[in-house]
Amino acid sequence: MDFLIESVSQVSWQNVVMWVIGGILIFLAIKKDMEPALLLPIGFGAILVNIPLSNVVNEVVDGQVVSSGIIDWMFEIGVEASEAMPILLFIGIGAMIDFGPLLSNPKLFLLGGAAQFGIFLTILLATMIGFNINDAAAIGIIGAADGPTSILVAMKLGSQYLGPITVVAYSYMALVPIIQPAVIKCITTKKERLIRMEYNPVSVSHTTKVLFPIVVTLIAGLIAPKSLALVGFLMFGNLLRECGVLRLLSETAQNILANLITLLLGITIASQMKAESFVTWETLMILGLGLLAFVFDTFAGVMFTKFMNLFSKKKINPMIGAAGISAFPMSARVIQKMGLKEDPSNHLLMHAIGANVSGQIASAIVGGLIIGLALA
Amino acid sequence: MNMYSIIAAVANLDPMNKENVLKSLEIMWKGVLAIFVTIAIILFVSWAINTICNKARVAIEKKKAEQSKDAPDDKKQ
Repeated sequence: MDFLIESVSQVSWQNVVMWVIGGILIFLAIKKDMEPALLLPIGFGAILVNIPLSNVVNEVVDGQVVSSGIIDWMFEIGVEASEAMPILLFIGIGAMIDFGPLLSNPKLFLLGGAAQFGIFLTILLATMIGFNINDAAAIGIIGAADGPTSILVAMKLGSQYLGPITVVAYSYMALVPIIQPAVIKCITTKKERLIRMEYNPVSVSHTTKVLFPIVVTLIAGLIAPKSLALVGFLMFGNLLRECGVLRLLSETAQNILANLITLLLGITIASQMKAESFVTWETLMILGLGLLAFVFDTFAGVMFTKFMNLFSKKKINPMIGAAGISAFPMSARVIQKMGLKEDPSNHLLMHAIGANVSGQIASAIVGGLIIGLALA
Repeated sequence: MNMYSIIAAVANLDPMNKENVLKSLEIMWKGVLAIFVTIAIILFVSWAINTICNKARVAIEKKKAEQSKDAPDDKKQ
């Protein structure tokens, strides 16, 4: 009768911890509606890969893989070998984004750049705690508030913490409505939060919208060539959207492609959530550093907006600066909600969306820059 | 023993390495500079493209308006 308890007898307390973590992620996805498309597959995958003798992961005997598991195989092919999954997801994201609000008020570009500062501060903190430079850079990029970028940077830098980094990145992205308002309220006065911003968009021509993705690809590629995998595919998706002659392809990228990759990416990332590599003190450190990265980003975005206001006739509501992170469109919605709470007639959504899409571009560029600088 | 080395010891990490910290500072200044340069160039180029395109569109619309103004006069003649 030993065969009935062969697997049960191999269950460790770390496996049980991972089942609980998987259960919490599924709970958050279903009950709290926190990034359900990612947290649910990751949560289920965390349970799946932590069942002893499971055939979804590679069976290893004496350091040799004797049989392949589907989740490990998907990770090797889709993420490790080519980073295909996170990169292809960027086509879908690019096809979803309308850069119109940003192009009609190009000043907002600067906010996307400023809100990336938290990434660099977190890298510094991580090295001070004792992480090596590649792991520190991969942890810092959690502040990009962009799951695919976090995965890509961690992979390219060969970080051993891919699993924790991904889970932390997606978890905090889901927590943006809690983290950002708290930070913003601490560093702005009521008077600043009440600054009104009229939305009088400059018309953006079709030619500009078509040329924009090509121009961004060229500029980002020439200055930060390592960012091209992300920026290039993001802009390719956007070109599909804006060209006006590939409506079906654009819709496929926005819906079918993005959904399919998201579905597979979540469960594939779970391959990195095996108990032996996940239940460690380092995971807790990454959790803390990831939170700091989001806090620093929000702080930097708000403070930079205040700095811009010193020289600007038309004041920008400092809360808009916080939307310069890449969590799209969640961050913009948070700012809109906060603005309406302070003054029900002050609609900040379109300005916040402008800063938010700028953050999308900036975070992809910073991801490439960090890969290049860390490996230099 | 400072706070960072205590955290490193608890988490089984190596104690703070000066080289890594210096490298992270280098990444910081180079990264911040590069992102702002890139963003500034994108900002300028996209503003220039949009301004040129809008001016061209206004000029075309003006020309069309003038042509349509002239057209009824031609018919009258």
